[in-house]
Amino acid sequence: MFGLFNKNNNESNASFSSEWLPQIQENQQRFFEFLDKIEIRMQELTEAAIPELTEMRNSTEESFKMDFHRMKSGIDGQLENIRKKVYDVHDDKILDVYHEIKHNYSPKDKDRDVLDAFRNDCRSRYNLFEEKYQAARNAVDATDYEDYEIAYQKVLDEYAAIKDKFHCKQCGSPISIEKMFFINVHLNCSACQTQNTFEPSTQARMLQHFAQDLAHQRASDLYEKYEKESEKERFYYHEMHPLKLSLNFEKNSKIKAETEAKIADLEAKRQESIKNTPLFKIDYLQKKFAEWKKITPDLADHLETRLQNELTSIYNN
Amino acid sequence: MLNNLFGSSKSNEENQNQENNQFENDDFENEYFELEYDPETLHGTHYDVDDFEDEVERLAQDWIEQEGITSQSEINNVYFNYRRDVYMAWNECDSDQFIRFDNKNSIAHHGFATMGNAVEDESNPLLAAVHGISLRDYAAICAKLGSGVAENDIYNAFGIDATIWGEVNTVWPARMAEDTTYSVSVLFGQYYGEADQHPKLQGLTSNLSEEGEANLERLKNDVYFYYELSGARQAAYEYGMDGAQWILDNFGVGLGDFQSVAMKYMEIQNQNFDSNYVRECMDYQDEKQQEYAEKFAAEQGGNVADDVDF
Repeated sequence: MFGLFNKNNNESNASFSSEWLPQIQENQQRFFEFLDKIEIRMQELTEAAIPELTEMRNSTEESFKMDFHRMKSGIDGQLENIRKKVYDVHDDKILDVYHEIKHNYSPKDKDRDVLDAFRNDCRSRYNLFEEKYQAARNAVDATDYEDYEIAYQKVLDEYAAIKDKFHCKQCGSPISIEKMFFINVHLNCSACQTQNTFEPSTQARMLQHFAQDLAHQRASDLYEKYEKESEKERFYYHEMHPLKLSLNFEKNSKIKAETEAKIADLEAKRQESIKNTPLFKIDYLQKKFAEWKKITPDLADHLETRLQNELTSIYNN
Repeated sequence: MLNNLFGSSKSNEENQNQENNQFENDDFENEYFELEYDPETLHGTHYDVDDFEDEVERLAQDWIEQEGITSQSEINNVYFNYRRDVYMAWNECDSDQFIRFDNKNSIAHHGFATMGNAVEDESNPLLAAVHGISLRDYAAICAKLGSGVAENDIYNAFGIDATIWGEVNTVWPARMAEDTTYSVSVLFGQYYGEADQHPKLQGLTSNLSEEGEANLERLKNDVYFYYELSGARQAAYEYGMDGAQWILDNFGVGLGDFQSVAMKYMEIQNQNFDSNYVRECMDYQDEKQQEYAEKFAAEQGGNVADDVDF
């Protein structure tokens, strides 16, 4: 793991008179060991938490779902705590030490290489930790997933079961529930004109709140397509950047022409992405809102207004 | 200082004056000469608003033409930048004053409302009452429901029932979602902060304990206390607790009442925008959050990585 550092050490140990060398060697080693240990702890935390979170999230009991959010927020808090600890240690034991040495000793060229290698190696190791942290965070976030088709199917089944079983509280005549309601409604009895109140079940009431998530899930293929497209612009931009820089010092006209052709090709792809991204977003929105209207037809006018608002804001940008 | 600024005074202008006092001894740009701002628009009174608009228009159009800018979002940015430049030059003010001006005119400048600056426009169809329940009523009801007032007491106060409420509670959120200017949501927030003053809800109690009552009063008058509990609530969530419930259990104040106070402070902070003050509040909240985090960690036997040291 410390290959680079050891090599430097063996090659030129004798020539170093710097009194700070042992200190940075020790700090680097301790920093790497500290991260190894803390990453194991982070892994233990997520491995223990994820199955439990998944089970809570999939529970049908509402109180369990509340527990899920509390527990997830606690796990997020612990991950954040770990990240902050690593950040502080990196700041204190690596960056501060680096700057202090640079400032106080004004190291000569060769020593400076060693000092810079210390900072760079530690930074790479720190970045590796950040990647692992992100992966842990994403894995924990992924537990917050519900297949809303299941909840929707339950609402449909329930509706099929009750729609012909509602009776007038006054005369007992059947009153047909002509559609799925998700809030209380007053229904008049056709036989005696008495006003009855139909109160939907808790899960039927939830329909209004998860309809958007369900519609999004049904359009998620188009959402992913849009997301992928939107990331391309930055990707091609970063691909082009070093090529553009390399042109500054390129004397060979053949290489220069080739590089310019590559840049032109990347730029064309970049422009394509800029053009496609809003179109793909529109495709996604059209499908999502179409699904949403199917799930809660009573809100169709409202949803159409929202769709048009979203489309207008895309056209205006 | 924070309490002086936000404690007892009510009107915007009073706060403005206090704020100027606050910086009396500081080396502060806008102190050098006395300027008057129109309270409605926050334009300086020493120039004509049309002249201001013309100047911004001229500079922006020149630049847009010169650079060949076509995208609407970039055009908006150009206008924003020149509006800032001209405003700060003509009024010789700092950027905080510009932000106050920009917030005040956010509908005209950006097409959306900002907290504390929205006024009810009676011609806006999205603001029409639903089954007789105005937005002000709706916000007050939500605040009271969130503070544990019995549903039936509220329904009775407004002469509605659970069925009407179900519709009201569907239509208002739908309008907020439809409104691209955010006026409905922002007004909702402003009215939420005034729930206590709603005439129809006077005398409805939320079963606040004596301690809760006292703490709620303190929250309204002691901005430090408000930021302390905001920090504590955040820390509670990070330690796997329901932060809102934690405040109710320990200070006797429900979420609805707490959020009402939050809306009030947010409104005042926006109307009197002062970047130093905002930073001071945030630092204080962070400091308190840290303190409570340590306390909660200790109660739970520490953090999972406490024993892993460098």
